[in-house]
This record gives sequence, C-alpha cells and structure tokens, in this order.
Amino acid sequence: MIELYHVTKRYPNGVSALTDIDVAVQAGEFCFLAGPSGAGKSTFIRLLLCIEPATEGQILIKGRNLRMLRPASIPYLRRNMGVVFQNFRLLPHRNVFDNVAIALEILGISRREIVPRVEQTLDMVGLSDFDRHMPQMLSGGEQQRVAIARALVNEPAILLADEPTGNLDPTLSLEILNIFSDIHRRGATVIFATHDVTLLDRVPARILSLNRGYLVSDSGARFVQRDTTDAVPGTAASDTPGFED
Amino acid sequence: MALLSTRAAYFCREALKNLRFSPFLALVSTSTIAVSLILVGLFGYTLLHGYQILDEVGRELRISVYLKPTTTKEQADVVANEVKARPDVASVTVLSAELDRERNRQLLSDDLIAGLDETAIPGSPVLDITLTNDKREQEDFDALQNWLQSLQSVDGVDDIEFAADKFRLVYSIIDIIEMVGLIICGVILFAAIFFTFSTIKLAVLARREEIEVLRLVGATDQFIRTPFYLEGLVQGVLGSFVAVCIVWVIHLRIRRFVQVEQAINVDINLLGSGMITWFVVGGITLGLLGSALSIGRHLRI
Repeated sequence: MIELYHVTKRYPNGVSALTDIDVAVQAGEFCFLAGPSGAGKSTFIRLLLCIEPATEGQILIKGRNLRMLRPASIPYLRRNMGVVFQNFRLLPHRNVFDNVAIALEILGISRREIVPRVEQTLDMVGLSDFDRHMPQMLSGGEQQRVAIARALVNEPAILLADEPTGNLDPTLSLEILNIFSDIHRRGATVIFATHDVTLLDRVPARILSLNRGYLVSDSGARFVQRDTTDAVPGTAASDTPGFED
Repeated sequence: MALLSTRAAYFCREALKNLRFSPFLALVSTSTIAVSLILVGLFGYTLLHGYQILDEVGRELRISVYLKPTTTKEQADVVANEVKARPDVASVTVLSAELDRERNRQLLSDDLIAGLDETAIPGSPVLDITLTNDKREQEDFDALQNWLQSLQSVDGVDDIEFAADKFRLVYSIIDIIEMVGLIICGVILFAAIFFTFSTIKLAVLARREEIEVLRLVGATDQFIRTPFYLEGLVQGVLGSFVAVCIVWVIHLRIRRFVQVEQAINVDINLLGSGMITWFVVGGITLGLLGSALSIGRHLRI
C-alpha cells in the first residue's frame, strides 16, 4: 500500500529531516510512527501527502510513484487519504456539519447524499448532536473528532494522523486512539504519528521508531482481526478507486 | 449534470460568502467598475460621434479653384485635366465668369442687389471640384493641402477656397481630447482592476487557512479558484448593471431637455446596443481581469 525506498528529505538549509528511510506498510496495517519532536514524523506524513517532495528515493502509494505524479493528479491522490493534524485545522466560519461535508463537496456529491453520510460519520465519532455547533464551541477532544470525521467521510483507504493527540489530555488521547483503532478494524490503513509512548501499547500495532530522521526500529507488522460486519463510512473496506489524472 | 449543478451551487455560495466578508471593498470595487464603464462609454460615444460628423462632412467636401479673369477656356481645361488626374477627385465642373456671377447673385437677396451694376457682383472663371466620397483622416487633409498649395502656382490659378485648415484644427482638437481621454480612461480602468484585485486579495488572505484545508482534502486548483473568479464576475456584472441604470437616467434627462429646447435637433441615444454591449462585456472583463491577477499573485498552488 505504502512503500518508501531510501527516502531522504533534506531542506535547503542543509538540515536532513529524514535519512534513507526504507519501509513498506501493507494495506490494513495500523502503524505507529513514534519518536520525539524533531524525529521526522511530520515530514514523513507531509511526504506521503505530497505537500513536499522527497529529496532522494522513491515513494509508492498503491503502486503509484509520487515522483512521477503530475501536480494536477495530487488532489486525486489526497482523496484516497484522510488526514488529521494535532491542531485540528477546522474552519472557524463553518459549523461541524459543514466542516465534515467539505470533503464530500469537493467530490461534487449532491447535498442530498452528503447529509446522510456526514450524519453517519458524526454518529460514528460520537458527535451526532453537535452538527450545528461552531468549532469554537467544542472542547479539544470534540474538535479532534470533527477533524477525524472529516478525514473519514469520503471513505479513504489510508488514514494519516500527525500527532492527533498532541493537544489532548491522556483520557481524551485514549478516546481518540480508540476511534482510530475502530477505523482500522473496519479495514483502513492507519499511520498514527505520536511522541506519546504511553499510547504505543494500547492497541496492537506496528511501531516505526524515528529519531533525528533515521528509522531506528521497526517492530514488524501486527495484524488484527478485521471487523467487516459494520461497513460504515470510514471503513475503506470496499475497494477505493485509484487516482485519477 | 447533477455534479455540475452541485458544483455551481457550491461555487455561488462561496463567492457570495467572499463578498459578504468585505462588503465595503466590494462596494468600492463595484462602484469603480461602474464609474469607469460610464466614463469610458460616454467618452467613446462622444469621440465616435465627433468622428462620424467629421467623416460625413469630410465626404462631401468641395473645392473652388478661382481662375484669373483673363484665363481662356483652353487654359481652364488644362487646369481641369490636371485636377481630374488625382484619384480622390470625383468630378470637375468648369464655370465661366458669367455663370459664377449668376451663382453669386442667387446667394444675395434681391433688395441688396437692386440697382447695382452687373459688374459689381463678383464673378470669375472657376473650377468646382467634388472629391470622392471616401473617409478622410487628418493625413489625407494634409496631403490635400499640399496639393492645393502646388496648384496655387499653376498658371492661371488666382485663388483656392477650401476649408481644410478648419478641418485640420478640428482634427487636432479631437486628437488632444482623444489623448487626454485615453490617459484618463486608462487610469480609471486601472483603478477598477486594482479595486477588484484588492477585494479578491482580501478574500484569498482571509480564507488562506480554508484553502490550505481544501488542498489537503483533495480539492483541485480549479475548485479552489472558481469561487474567486465568480466573485470578480459578480462584481463586474453588478458594476455593469449600475452603469446601465445611471446612463439610462442621464439618457432620459437629456431627451427631456432636447424635447423642451426644440431648437436643438440632435438625435442622442446613449443606451444603444453598442453601449450596452460595452457595459456588459467591459464589466465582466474588468471583474475577471481583477480576479485573475489577484488569484495569479496570491493563490499560487
């Protein structure tokens, strides 16, 4: 699903954020990207999202080499990946419903279809009664759930999370992690970047440890039983269409 | 089709949201577009009609070449043949001194010439030249003037009557008006584009975070840019509408004035199809141009 071959990211000031990363993540894996601040976790996520290119090496997602991807194809790649950030990145002028709906609006889906899908996804993250609330009226944990709902609503095959619990207390962090774990059980490939080592043994997952841009350890894949009985948005259990050009 | 209408609804919603974000600047931008359309439109109308009147008069120009009283018929024919050789001369009529005197007599009232000696009324052999019915530019008048100066030195030619000097003066005045007008119109059009540019710029800056999120969830460049283009388009169309309304009011007032002042016999139609086309096309172009420049500069994706 995700393959990195000798990937290095060096910035113009000479700082290497990632050095010679060689790793493959299989479809359906839950993968922690662990390491302290400055380890290169965010850069790893940014490279997968094509926010910036790798300096050296090749990255393949679903068999497509990102280096060969035309700029016009990048949006279609991103539609296959949901992304959640530490600072939520919700739109302050839109209510919860509209914040989630935006991921479907870009696909040109009709309002009639958007409404049930957004409601279903908000229900899944436990926010069904908050759809008309503005983001600033919500707690940090609730805002992060909205961000997760936005990432899930178009049923991506891959879910990327960059320190999604970084701004939350331990109890909320665990709640958020459990939501990701649920999503993973329904078939999604999850890459969860965190510096919080207490989370690593909470769910059965592969742990990729980064330090100063190097991949220092890889626990190896640990698959869990996929739950296919509850096929709701965010599962990615079904085939996700490939990138369009 | 459903996709198209869903997208269109989204783009319209976003464009209106952008306009609501900075209503004052949007108002200034729309007003500037309207004012520039009106000024440029009226300036163009005046200039075009000035040229049209000059053109019509210029097409019917006549030249009178007065010959010396001693000129014989043969000498007059020689001059007439020389004149006829020019491509812009349609016809040449040779009038004798008697015929010219008769023509002059008809121009004077009977009271005035009663009791006058026949020879007191001026009359000399004359060549009446009619020019071809062509459009003439200032350069053509310069060339005519040069030719007539050379004709002056031809044997037997006494005097030449031609209003080219006046035409050249009018053309010079119109040239100055055109030059000054073009500069003013350029400044006004620039201001209109600048204000649209600024409105869109503010909208882009205000929605930077949203644009970033849209990119991350997979929005295409077109999807992100279209609402901003639409915003410029709305401003342009609104500006056109305001311009049409204002010119319509001016048009009505002028017509009422012309009707009251019956001595003025001018056909003025400020809101012709050309003017309305200019308002619509000009407004849309200004709005889209302002958007495109702003998006190109502030929304590099």
